[in-house]
Amino acid sequence: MLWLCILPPPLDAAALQRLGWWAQQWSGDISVRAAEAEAAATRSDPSLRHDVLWLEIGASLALFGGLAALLARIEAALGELDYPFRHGMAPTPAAALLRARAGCSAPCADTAALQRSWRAFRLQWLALPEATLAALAASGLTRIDQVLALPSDALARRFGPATTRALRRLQGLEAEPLPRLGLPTRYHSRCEFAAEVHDTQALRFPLQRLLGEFQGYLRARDRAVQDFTLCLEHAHHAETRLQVGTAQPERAAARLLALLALQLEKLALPEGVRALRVEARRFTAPSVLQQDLFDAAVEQQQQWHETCDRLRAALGPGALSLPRLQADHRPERAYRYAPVADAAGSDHAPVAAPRPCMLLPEPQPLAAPPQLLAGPERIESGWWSGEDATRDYFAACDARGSRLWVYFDRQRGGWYLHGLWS
Amino acid sequence: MNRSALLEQLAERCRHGLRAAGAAPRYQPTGFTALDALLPGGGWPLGALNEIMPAQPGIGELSLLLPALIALARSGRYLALIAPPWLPYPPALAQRGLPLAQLLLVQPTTPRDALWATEQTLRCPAFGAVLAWPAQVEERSLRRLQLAAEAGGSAGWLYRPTHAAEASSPAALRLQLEALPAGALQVRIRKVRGGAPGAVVVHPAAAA
Repeated sequence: MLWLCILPPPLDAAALQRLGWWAQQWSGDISVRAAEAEAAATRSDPSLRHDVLWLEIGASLALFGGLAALLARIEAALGELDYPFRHGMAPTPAAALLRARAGCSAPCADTAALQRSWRAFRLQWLALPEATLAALAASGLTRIDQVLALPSDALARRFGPATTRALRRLQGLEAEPLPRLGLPTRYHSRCEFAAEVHDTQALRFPLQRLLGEFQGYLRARDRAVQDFTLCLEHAHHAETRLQVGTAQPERAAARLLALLALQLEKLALPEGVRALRVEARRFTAPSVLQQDLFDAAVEQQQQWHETCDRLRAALGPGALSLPRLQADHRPERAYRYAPVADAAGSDHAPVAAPRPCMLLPEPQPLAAPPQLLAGPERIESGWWSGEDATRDYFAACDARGSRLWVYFDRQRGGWYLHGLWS
Repeated sequence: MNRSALLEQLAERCRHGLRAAGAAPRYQPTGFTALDALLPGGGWPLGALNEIMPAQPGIGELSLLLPALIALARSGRYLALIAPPWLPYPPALAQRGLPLAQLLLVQPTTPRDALWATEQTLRCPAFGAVLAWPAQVEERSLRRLQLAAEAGGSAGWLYRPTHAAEASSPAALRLQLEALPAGALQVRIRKVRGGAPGAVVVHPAAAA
């Protein structure tokens, strides 16, 4: 076991939990403890109360290429989140916390090194109750190695069983009861600003942090998103909601940021922004295609998806669609245009009767019967659909040579233009 | 994939990249022998802008492109239709053999967005063909589109009104279309890069 303990700046409970989810990209065993809980547990000096994040990284070392490589990654990622933080590392959670508090970030990877290190740490870093610390100091005990040299039953008698328990946990002789952080099924994160932000450009930086956390969460769950929402909260106005949809599962913060940037560029803020929120409900399995760089077809598909995402972000989700066939003999119902993310294929066979390449959105009444070229093809709409109609369709042409698809409405009478043989 | 196969594939891609860099522009046969005979390279130029100027709609202006569109789609590339004045009718396109799964319809709300979408799709190598019905295009925008088509290697077809032929254009090929009796189509070449103007009659079989 090797524990990395991170002391972030003071956070609210939700933010601390999000930091925990973010950290799950490095380790499956994460615990967080809020400053209040810490204080309640120890009744210690307020200056020693911290929000604490623990990661068990011993099991992750091989995966990430060793301690130095893993630490470099974690430090770089923390730097991206722009949290000033302190950290410590030791074989026990308590010792890792002790080292983090003392500002000693040098790794201490094994128990032997840990035993040799006690001399360097003063007792006050142990966050014992203030009264206990005072009593220990009165006995001339200020360093950890000094108390550890004493017989534990004598210590327990004089300074209470809590003191010996803390020391046993410090050395790993007793397990530290840390609740392991689970994962939520919905994602929600929020970032509130000290002052209202009026320029969408200025939102980019906090957004980068929010999406960085989101990416960590997605990696930890081995999940990706195809749609999520960014909410911009205002003081008086209803919040501005930006929907982001991608054609294929996505989790790279940089790509999500690029898509949001396209929308933010065009956005006129009704009012300053007080807070940002990222919300996601639906998750999908990540796309394995992203890894395969050597297949031209895969690369082409990737490019197609990226272009679609860019178009959709700039033009709105309704602007893009894919044609599909539907099994229906009525010309208006024989197709639909589906959203790009809709993966369902169209496996219906098209009708055998000739159809024109272009269809008018609504049939248009014709003033005079056109010159008919071929037909009729009788199409009856179902009485069940409530629009009982019988139409005789013809290929026709007009005076200038345009070829038309027209029908005669047998119920109401009259000729209609429905398509063009473009 | 084992290591040697991977290296061989990489090498092949490098060779292909070198060939592509120095290669002459490629062409896609139109599917109409008479028209191919008039076009340098024997087909639609790829990586270039083509202008189609039909005298009126519904004379086979889309059917003229269908053989080439089908061939491009079957080679695995995508097709984009941008701001068509009517709805491309999927059952008709499927009947003619166009793989619908590779067709993307883009309906922007403003002419400016339509031009932007045309440029984006032309620039993306995944698209083999981009058909656009722009409201109005200035020569400067045409130049941008031509550059985008060169970058993406795709064929761009712009549908424009006949009077657009009076203004100059950087397009590689400009065609005027007129209806003839019995479904025939007169194709007049107003400009073709590396070739001479001319005219030919084709039968795009738009109608039954």
